[in-house]
Amino acid sequence: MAPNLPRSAAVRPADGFDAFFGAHYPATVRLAHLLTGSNLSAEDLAQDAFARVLPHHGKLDNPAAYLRTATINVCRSWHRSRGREQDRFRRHGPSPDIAISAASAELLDSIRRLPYRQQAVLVLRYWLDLSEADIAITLGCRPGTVKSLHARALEAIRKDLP
Amino acid sequence: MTTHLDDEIRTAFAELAATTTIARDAEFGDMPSRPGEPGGPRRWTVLTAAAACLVVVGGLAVAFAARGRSSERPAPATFPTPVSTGPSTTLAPVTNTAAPVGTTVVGSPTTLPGASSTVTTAGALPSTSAAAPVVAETESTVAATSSATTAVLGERCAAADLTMSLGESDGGAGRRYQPIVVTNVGSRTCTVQGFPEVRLVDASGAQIGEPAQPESTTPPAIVALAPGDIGSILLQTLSGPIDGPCSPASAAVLVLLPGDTDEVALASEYIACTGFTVRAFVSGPTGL
Repeated sequence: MAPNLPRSAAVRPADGFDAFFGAHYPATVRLAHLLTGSNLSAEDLAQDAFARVLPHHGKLDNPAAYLRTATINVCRSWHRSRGREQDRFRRHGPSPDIAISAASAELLDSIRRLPYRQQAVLVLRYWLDLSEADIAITLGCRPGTVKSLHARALEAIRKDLP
Repeated sequence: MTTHLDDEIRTAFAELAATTTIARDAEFGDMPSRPGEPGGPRRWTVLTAAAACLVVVGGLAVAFAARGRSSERPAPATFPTPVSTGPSTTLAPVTNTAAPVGTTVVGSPTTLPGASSTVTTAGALPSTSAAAPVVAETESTVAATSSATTAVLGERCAAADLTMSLGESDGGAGRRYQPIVVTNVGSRTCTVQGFPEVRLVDASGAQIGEPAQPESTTPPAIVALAPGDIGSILLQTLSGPIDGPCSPASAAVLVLLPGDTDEVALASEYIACTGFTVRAFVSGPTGL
């Protein structure tokens, strides 16, 4: 029999932070991808977000909500620090055979041009299906602000698209 | 004012999210942040970014090569070069004579440059002695490709070698993702390649609707599972009757691995809507 070494990397303990990480990592990477448009950066950003949760893990009522806010914040930092020069990484997906329709690609480009908080509202609203109240909590602003960010985002997109 | 635009944004996000890739076996600990700046963004140097770019381009090239090749040859003799997207997948030259150690070790015997091909088995074969998991084949390799490839890469995983369970589902923008986690609980390494057949049944065992469609944007790599290794399958569907009606809730999801004959039933109240698809089998637990 060949010396089959089990791969410890594939097996996680079923409790604590590792379990939390395992359960939420894919969703967090997707969220970071949508918030930045960069699949390349999304995993790093997701790891960053988990790093922000780690010191508080076990003490949080709703670690998933905390993680969501952390993700929003690390992605905001990404936008600030990397800005324009990283535009080439912000395209959706490096591969031409990945299926994004032309209409969606155009729309995503338009969304990318919005201020970050407007982008975040759209992602939280349309991707995570969060209520206005939950979006307000996640972003740390008032529900009225969410409403106006949302309205401004849609208005800007309508103007932007032909 | 609800509109068309709402739906278009949902669709765009869903399409983008469907392209998200995740390194297999991702673990917490690839810590991008430095101790001094908790959670702060990692400042990539231009060099790092460029290197990352190269890696992606290289990976794509491999993926394209694999796809091109697989379309040229008939099915069973063809094993596309594995697409390496994570640490657990090893792009191993087939002339590797070392004993396999559990991770994905696959190759493309049919593309070997002539000569005597020494190929690595991915598990114990009946014909090999306990100490030597390496099979040497000679000139007849090409003629015997079809049977040789099967033997060479280790046997296909059968349901008896594996346990399956439903992973954590997640989703957004009206789509749901459901990983099915597969663990090799057998005593030998075996391989899985391609799209499982996944269908839903009701309590009486009658099939509900159509089986999940293979999602062809995911290239089917060969995944070798050593004992204890984990692989996974990802099911996707819209989460509601958006583009069409949804199925009633199932009593079980039946999974048939490619090349296997035994379906595995997982008790699950799964509801399939439009866009019920399955991705190719991958290593790691996330289905991505």
